[in-house]
Amino acid sequence: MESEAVQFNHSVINRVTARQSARATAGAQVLNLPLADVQRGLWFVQQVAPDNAAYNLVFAALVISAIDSAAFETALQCLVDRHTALRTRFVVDDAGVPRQEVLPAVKIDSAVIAAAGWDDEKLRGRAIAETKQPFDLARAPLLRVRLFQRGPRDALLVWTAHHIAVDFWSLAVLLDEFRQLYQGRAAGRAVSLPPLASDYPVYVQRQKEMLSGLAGSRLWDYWRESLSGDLPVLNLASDYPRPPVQTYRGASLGFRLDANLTTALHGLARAEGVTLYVLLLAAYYALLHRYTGQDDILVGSPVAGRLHKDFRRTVGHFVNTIVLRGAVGGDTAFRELVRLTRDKVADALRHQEYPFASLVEKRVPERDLSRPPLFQAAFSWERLPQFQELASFFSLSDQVAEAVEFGGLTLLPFPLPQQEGQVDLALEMGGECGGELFGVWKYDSALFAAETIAALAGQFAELLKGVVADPAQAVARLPLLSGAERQRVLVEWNRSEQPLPAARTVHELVEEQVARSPDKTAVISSEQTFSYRVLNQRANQLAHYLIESGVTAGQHIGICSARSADMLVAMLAVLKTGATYVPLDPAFPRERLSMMIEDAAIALVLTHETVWEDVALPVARALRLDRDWPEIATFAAHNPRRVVAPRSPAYVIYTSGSTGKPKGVAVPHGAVVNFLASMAREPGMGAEDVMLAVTTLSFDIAVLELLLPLTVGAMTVIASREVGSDAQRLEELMESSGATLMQATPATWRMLLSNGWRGCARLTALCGGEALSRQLADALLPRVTALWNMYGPTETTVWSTLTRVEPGTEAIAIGRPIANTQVYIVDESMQPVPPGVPGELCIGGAGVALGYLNRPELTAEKFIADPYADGAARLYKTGDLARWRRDGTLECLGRLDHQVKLRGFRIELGEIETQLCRHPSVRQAVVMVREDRPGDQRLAAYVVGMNEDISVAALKAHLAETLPGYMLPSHIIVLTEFPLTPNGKVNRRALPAPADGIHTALSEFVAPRDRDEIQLATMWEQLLGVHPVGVNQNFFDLGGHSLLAVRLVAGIRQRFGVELPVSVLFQHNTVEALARLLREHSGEAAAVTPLVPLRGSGDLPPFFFMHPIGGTVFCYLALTRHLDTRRPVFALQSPGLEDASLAEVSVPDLARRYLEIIRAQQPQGPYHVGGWCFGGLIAFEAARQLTAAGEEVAELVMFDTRAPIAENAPADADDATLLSWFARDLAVPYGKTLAIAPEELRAVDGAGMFDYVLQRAREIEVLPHDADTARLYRYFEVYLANGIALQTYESGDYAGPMTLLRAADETVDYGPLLGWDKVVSRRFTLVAVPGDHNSMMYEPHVQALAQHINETGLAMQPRQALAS
Amino acid sequence: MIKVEYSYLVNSPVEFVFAYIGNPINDQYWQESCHGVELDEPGEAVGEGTRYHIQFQFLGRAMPFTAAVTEYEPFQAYAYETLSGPMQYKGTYRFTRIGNSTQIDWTFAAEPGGFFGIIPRTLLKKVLAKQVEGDIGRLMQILGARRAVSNG
Repeated sequence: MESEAVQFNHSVINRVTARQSARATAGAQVLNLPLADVQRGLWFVQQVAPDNAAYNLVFAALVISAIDSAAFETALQCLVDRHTALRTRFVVDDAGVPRQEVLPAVKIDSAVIAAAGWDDEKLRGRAIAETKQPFDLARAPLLRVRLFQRGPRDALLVWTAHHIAVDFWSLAVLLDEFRQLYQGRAAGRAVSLPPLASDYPVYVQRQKEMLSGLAGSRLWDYWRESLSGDLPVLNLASDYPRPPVQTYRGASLGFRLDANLTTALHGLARAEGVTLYVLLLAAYYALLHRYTGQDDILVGSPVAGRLHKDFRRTVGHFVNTIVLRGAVGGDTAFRELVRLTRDKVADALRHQEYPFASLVEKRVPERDLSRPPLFQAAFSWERLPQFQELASFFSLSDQVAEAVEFGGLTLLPFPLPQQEGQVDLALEMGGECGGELFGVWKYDSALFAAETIAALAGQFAELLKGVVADPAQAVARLPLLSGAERQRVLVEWNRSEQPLPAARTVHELVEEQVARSPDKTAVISSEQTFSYRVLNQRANQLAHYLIESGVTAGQHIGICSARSADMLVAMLAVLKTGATYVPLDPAFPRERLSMMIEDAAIALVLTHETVWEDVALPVARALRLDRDWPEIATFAAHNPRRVVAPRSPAYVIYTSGSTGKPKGVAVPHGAVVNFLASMAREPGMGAEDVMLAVTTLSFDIAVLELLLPLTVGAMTVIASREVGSDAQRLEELMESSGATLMQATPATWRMLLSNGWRGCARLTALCGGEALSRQLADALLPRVTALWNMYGPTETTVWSTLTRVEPGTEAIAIGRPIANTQVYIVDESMQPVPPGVPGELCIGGAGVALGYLNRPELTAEKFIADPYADGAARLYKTGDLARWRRDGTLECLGRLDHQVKLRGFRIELGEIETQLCRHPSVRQAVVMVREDRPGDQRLAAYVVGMNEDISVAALKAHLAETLPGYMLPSHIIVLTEFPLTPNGKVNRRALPAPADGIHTALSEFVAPRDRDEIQLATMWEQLLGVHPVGVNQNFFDLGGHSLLAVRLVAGIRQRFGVELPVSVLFQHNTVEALARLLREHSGEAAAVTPLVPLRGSGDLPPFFFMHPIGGTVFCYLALTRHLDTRRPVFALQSPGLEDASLAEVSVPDLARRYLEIIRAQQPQGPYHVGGWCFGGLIAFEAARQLTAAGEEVAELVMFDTRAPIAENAPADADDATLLSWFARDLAVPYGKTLAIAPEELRAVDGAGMFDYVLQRAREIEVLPHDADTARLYRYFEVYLANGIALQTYESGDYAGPMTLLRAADETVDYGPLLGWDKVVSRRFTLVAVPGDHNSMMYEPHVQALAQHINETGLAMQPRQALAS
Repeated sequence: MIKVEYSYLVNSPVEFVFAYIGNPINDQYWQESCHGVELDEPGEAVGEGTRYHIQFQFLGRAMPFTAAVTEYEPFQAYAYETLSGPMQYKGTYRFTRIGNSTQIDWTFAAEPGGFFGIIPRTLLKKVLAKQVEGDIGRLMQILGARRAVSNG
């Protein structure tokens, strides 16, 4: 050890810790101490992701001078000898608690790597790989130094240290001392560094004292208040789906702000009286607000933590992170945001000593491992005076490299990226060089593409320019997009101009086609076929009739007809009169139709006799197109000469309203003409095409099916409602009609596929009305010639965007705008959002409807002035969430109101649906938030399977693989089909509450059911102090937090011998899930020990409980809780539960086997044994065998155990009887009753009996649908074996102490002594306890049992005393 | 088919052992599950072809059988087989004199069919074995006692 580097000022260190620290330094001993609170979080991250390098600190420099390797090595070793932090390792004690050990001596980890001939690129790659090597925290030192030697005067020096031992400040200290030590050694002289005022262990001690005192509680008071309420989760839209567990992989992007902007920012900071840190943090808040739309944003910011001068030269992890909660309203002036930020920062800095790890434990006990806790965005400002001359060595932005003389070495910057992937997004600034601020954006590369961050960096600079230009500007109005970006999203991606047809109205468009192809077949329905000429003539005759009857322009005419060619006649006729048609689908509920008639003031309905007989709506007049046709046919057949303006409404179509009341959308002729012309071009339709129309007229997409063919000379085949809803008949019609085009909702396409439709090679499929999943698209693509995804609300005329779907893996886009249509993605302030960022989709252009009928306020709200167009153009706000992809196509992300927020997490329900649909057994999925009980919001997933073989557990597991915990539905309900609206969309309102379907109810309390669950539940109870723990309860809901999770994992390692990463606990956070995982880890064939430690330690002699007939021992959990805590409690579980071949069939054998185990645990008496029911019998036999062997039995306690005498045996204890008992016991942990009489079972075929019981158990939901049947059968075999043992047991006398606790409330009478007076000759103790045979073992009665045992135990002495 | 094989040494001369085991009437005394035996023709000497009715109670089920002696070689072999009953079984005893003791080799095979419902055969075999062990102990006790009486 180099004594020159080790000099302690003992006058300053006057605490025990300091003395220990000194002894450790002097080589006397290993110093073991707890982690500093600021270290805990880092330690935890390393447990969760041991391979991560996110917390590796790096310093790199090219050395272009000769290196004295001996001096180099010695200087480094001196650093290790001098600083305890460099000799510290991190271990876990037996209780799972992390500790740090300062070792007396540790050798520096340094190496020289031959790198001759490497160019800079290779050198950089190798160096980065070296810095990304993870540290094993259990091995000191947590600093390694590498020298990549390219030549005698050309080497890359790389220091890598783990943040838990070395912070940025420490790095500066170490480099400074290295410089002195190296220079001295190279010159052959000893260097005397100033003594350290204090060392890290002292800091640990001081911090703990401070936190446990008044100061600590005041700090917590501040943070509790500051971080009260629901904590927001930053919802930055990512390029890639968020992995379920944070990968800690990241990337960096260096940047510089030009000198002008830097100067302006300095000026603004001065003018506002704030530091640059505050100013830039405020701008960062503004950026995040604009990207997420969130008003409440948490940003983490590191603070050096060197508040005491004693520690200014101490190496260690002092850095703490403060969480700065910004309230960022779009309306807030930026200047005001700066002021708020300044105040927030000042307050937080005053309370900076409260450890971040403690904040996490208290505020987010249930870690969502997919994200960093508390904050997902960070902002750091590193400007250490020690690093002034080396500042450029940390800048990733391009700059001119200047050599620095450093302790006799000449260094050139060779900055390497470091500490990447800690959070979603981090902005690090503080460096300034050449009058330019520089910094680095660090981002989670599992979430973001480099291009996205590059764009974001540019937008931040744009925003800063806006800030300095006008700091009074509202945050929402600050510029974000560069001019080029703005041009792209507003103009270039909306270039959809196309000439409009000469015809200005819909019927003119059709009339033009009639003139072109009068004799071509226009329309076919089941009973009618019309040529273009006939169709038009009939429409004209009807139009003339209507005009003659007084129908005026603008009047609303209902069409309530059969799906026939007449329906088309009616539509055209109304349009020709200048009136507006209103579809009234006779299949709709009468109430809904009546409401439409009233709302649209419909006085005349065009119908058919057969239809009208059924609906008979309240209108003044119904014109029957069949019955009244002879009269209509007397009218003129030429086109009416009524002039109709393009702005006249062509139709009013009712759509669902959010209040449940439909609203009528009035669509003008001009919009329809533009739409039809656009559709004729793309997807395209020609005279040779045959369109199969299947959609109800009441759904506006029928406009395409019925009218588009008439504008291009194609033929329309109208399918009846019955055919349209029958997959087989529809398929036949597709074939027989020669259809080349069909448009349908996903539901209809799925219906066809479910029926085994093989496809139609000539067919172009249009899909719209609901989101087209990739799964459905992949199924359709090989079956059709082309597939188009169509998107658009009724309010902008049928479809507004479209795309031809290609095979692939990414989500289906909605494409680009149709002709003369503009699409904008905007934030709440109607500012265009950057590509990739979700916003509300707004549609402008020729398709915008007139508005809602009789709903001026709603019209004004949804149809707004187009801020990006001149004149009177309007936009429709769709309420859909969408984003631009980088290629200028649109992606729809669902409804804005489907974006929900649960426990602070913003959740896209569509994302969960997509994941469900990726499971091969799922055909369709819908996820929604239900609030069936006020205040209890839960995610419910509804799925329709490919077939009946669908496993809820498998779906849950599938989701858990890809989605973070907060996105996992509480319920998964399997339905045979979804309820649909008349338009063929899923009727979300009609989805059943979870209780109505097959579901997994996770909220019910379920007691542990097997050995593993019992052990885990017991561990949870001890760790969490919660009793009882049900197998479905969430560890974190019960108060668990990350460090308790670590302790639990340590306990599992000890108890089960299975090494689990901590991270699994976040996804397997129930006893049930964890037990299942443990079984998978250990394998079913693993060695089985029947001994279950319910309380593994204590001073008093242990109690051994024998299992009852079922073989499990969960019945002793409640009892154990109430037994004296000094008393160890063990239970013996049947080994047959794990391995059927181990099941014993005789009580003496059972007792003999268990005694071997008991003796291994407690080699000699006195013994305390007992058991409930059959377990009492085993205990009795065990006591007999013990006394026969000369051992002392201090206590034999039997809980309502009936004596093994013939009178107590059931009349017929056959397999059916035992199975009926087994069934009864299956339901007990669920608090339910499953009574199946043996007679009922005997009536079932022998082999089917067991399945019958399982079926009954499933029906009352005491068995999941995918229960492990083999395991259950094994449990039953144990039941049978024990039942046989019970029946065949012939007991002898027993002369030891014996207590019988008889259930006082048991109704079945086995005599006051349960027959024991006929077995044992000696007197025994009888105690009546409350409860019946079963309830005596559970709360509250079990307390009386425990009380009895505890009172008996009062006389007992601790084991040490006994042993002596 | 459930098969069991047992070999054990009885500390009694083969004459005693054969005389006792080779008479089905005695089954009810040394076999725990046997609840009664009647020869078809009471009083007749047991030999090959002797038919008898035997009642067993096993795992909560009563099992009446008619069986016959199929092999009868004094001091050497004794075998039996069911003629009717809820299932089929057959057994053979081989006796070997070893000084004043007797080596017994017993094989037994039964086909329970569906008679025991869902009780698995592995369990049936285990119970049977357990019962046989008890019966052998009982047999030894009885033979010891009888020999003592006889000697007396």
